[in-house]
Amino acid sequence: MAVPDKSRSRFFLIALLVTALIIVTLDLRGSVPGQTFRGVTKSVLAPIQSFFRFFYDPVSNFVSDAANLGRTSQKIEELEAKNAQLEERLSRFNVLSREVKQLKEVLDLAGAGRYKSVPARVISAGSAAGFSRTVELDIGARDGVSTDMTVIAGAGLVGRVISVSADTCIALLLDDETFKAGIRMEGSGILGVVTGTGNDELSLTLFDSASTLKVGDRLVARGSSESRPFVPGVPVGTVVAVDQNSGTLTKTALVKPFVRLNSLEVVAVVTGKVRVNPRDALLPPAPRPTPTPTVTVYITPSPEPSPTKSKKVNQ
Amino acid sequence: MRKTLFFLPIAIIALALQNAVISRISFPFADPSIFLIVVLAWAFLEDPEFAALQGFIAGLLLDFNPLSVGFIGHWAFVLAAVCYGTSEMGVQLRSSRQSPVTLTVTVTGALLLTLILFAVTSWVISAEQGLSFSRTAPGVLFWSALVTPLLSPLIIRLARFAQGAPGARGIGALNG
Repeated sequence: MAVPDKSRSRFFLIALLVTALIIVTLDLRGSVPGQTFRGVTKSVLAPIQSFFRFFYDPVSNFVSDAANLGRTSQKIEELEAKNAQLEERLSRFNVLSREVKQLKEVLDLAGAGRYKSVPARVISAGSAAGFSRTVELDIGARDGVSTDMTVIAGAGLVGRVISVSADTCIALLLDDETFKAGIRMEGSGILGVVTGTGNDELSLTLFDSASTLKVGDRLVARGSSESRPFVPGVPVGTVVAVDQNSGTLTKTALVKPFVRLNSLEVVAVVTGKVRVNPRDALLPPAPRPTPTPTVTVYITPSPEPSPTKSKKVNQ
Repeated sequence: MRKTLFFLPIAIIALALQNAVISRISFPFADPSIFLIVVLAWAFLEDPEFAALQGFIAGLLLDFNPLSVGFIGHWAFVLAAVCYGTSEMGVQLRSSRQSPVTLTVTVTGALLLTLILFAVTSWVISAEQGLSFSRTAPGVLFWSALVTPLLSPLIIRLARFAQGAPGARGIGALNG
């Protein structure tokens, strides 16, 4: 049995310790490229560590999932509730921003026409009984609303108030079959009457059969005495079809209203008298006609017929 | 040379295991240091000369570990000294060298000595790595006392296999 030489071992140990101290000293002075050596070690260890992780990660994930099972389902429930809350808030925000836009439009119109008005939200649409086209608004007598007042939206005429309670009122829409309003044609000032048809379009009757009426003509409310039921100058609609039958005392046409009556959310009721008739000033800018492109083709006449051809003709 | 070639991959695997698995498990008190347990247990079973060398190599490996931030050569110094001392103790306890109880007690004691020496030398060279010694040492020692008996049969078998070459000293020589 070989007995280790103690003095040799101690000398070897001292040599190793001195070497280690020299390395430490060099590193303290910044002479050892530590990052390079650590990079080499990292590249040596990386594949072995990946091997261990290959076995460890699935086990770790399983244990973690099992340990957090209750907490995870609770967390999912919390997140679902929060998500539903956020979706509801987003939906409410979208409705509000749409209403704000409509409110701005209707206030702009009322401001331009100098109408004293009270904004209102549409609570419900349609009548409780029958087939009349009505909407219920969230303002009533307490807000200064009374029957036969004009109801407007951002784009123009909506209808008139037909009944009022303390906090709500009912407005008859202009597409109802019983609705009638006096109108004035833009520019010419010819008078007529629009009547609801129960459909998307209104029926227009002009009292002057000799007047010219064409598609695209626009009309505004004529206005009533004491501004009730209609204030003057409110845009009504555009002519979309003209009845060309002659031989009658009147002229009729179909009119598409400016206001989309099926998607009303915010309107205003004009509660005061109008002192200045805005005439056509509230109409939106007229659409500009699209220019038709013209194509010019130049044809150059061919030269005189060739002699060969002439010969053949002669023969 | 054969023993060195055999020890180096074992140390590298132990270090990779430490980095990839042990350090990612949240143990109570502190993480057990599988790497130090393997190195110190191996040193206990070796002759002092080789134990010092393998402590130096293992220390350099720890210094070059990408997760280390201390001075290079610090761990090499500490482990060379402690492994030498551990091996000297193994020579003294020749008769019970292969007993798991002896191995566990010695390795745990050597681990405590390693941590103390590391803390002291850190203080000397103004490094900050040893400052958490008082916080981590009890946990490390607890886990060492728990893990070493589990690892000792494997370490003893590997060390015996590494010393199987003719002329090898250490366990084989001492037992022979």
